[in-house]
Amino acid sequence: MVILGFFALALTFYTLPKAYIIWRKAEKASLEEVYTLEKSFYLVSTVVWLVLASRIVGMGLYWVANESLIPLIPGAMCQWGVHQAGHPYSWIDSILKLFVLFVYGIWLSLDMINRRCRGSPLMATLSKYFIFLVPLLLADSILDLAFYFKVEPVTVPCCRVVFTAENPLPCPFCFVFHDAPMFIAVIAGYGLSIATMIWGSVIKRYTYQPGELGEISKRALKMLANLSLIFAIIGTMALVPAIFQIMAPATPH
Amino acid sequence: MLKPKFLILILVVVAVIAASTTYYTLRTSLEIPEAENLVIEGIKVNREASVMTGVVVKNIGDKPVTVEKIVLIRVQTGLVVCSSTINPPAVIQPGETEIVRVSCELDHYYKKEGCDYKVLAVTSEGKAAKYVFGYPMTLEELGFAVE
Repeated sequence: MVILGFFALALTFYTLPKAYIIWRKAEKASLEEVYTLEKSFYLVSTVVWLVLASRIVGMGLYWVANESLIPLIPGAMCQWGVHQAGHPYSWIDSILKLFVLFVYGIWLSLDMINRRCRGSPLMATLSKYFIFLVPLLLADSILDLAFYFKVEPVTVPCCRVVFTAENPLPCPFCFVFHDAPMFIAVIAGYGLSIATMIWGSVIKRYTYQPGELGEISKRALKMLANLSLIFAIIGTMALVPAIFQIMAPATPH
Repeated sequence: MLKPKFLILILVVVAVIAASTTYYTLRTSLEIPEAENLVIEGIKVNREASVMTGVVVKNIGDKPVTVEKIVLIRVQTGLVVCSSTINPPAVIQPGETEIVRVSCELDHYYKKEGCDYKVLAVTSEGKAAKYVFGYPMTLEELGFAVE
């Protein structure tokens, strides 16, 4: 996670000025300049793909890394303890991790459409959008680094302190990662379904464009809608065993 | 025809409602009224296997009490770990203390730092005696519980 954090920071700083130049020049550029900008954008696009893909991989890896840290922190019985050890960065980072996929995916799906069109019609839009994404990318990477550099093998209070017999709420980490792990599939299924739906709703505005851009956007929108439905079905299918998982031990034997 | 977007939203809402309703129904079903004449004095464990082998119950009333079921709940998640019907039911005479035998595994996952468990001894009257303990236990607690 630390390597991924540094990797994202380095590539973001490398791409930022290039994207800014493309954004600023693209609309007023002559035909010759547009060709140069397109070549430059191709590099920007590839690097941003690497950055965003690494952040999305990191999003899953984040929970795996936290789970693996539990035995190393005295007092931690679940990820609550790990979060306590990395407080306050850990909590902000976790909340951010739940939402970044929705935002990063918009850029990736728009770029997929752009790559399929001749003359990179979304070059300026994507460069501008990337610049707006930079604060989120920086926050995501810096919080990862801050969290993992803060975590030390110090004794921490875990969820036993908060989730006592009187508390009506369950510890979310114990619940999802241990007692009812099928809910991971439910959350992932529905999360991806909502994410693809959000990406689709952004792409929808380009379906009204004339020519190639409109046609490709329509095809992409159809594909995303199907994907969204498939993920929702996967989530629903996982929900049934997940509910059985919490009910089965309650049945007397 | 229903648009896919709405279909997905309906699926998500139904899933959230189904999961939370199941969870709270399960938790509400465990909110059993307190048995006034029955107390749990402790539990018995097989430390090597991390198994709860018995529940020590005392009848402090003046009538016999029948224990029909033992339920073990993990406090941190509110989920039932083990539910065991006592067959034949254990009848505890007034003033007597008895060990109700069960076999409930105490989770190995939480063995390093431990977690809290709540035991319910459910009587034939639909009431329950409750007892909360942490496992792994402290040395003093183990002195009583270990078999």
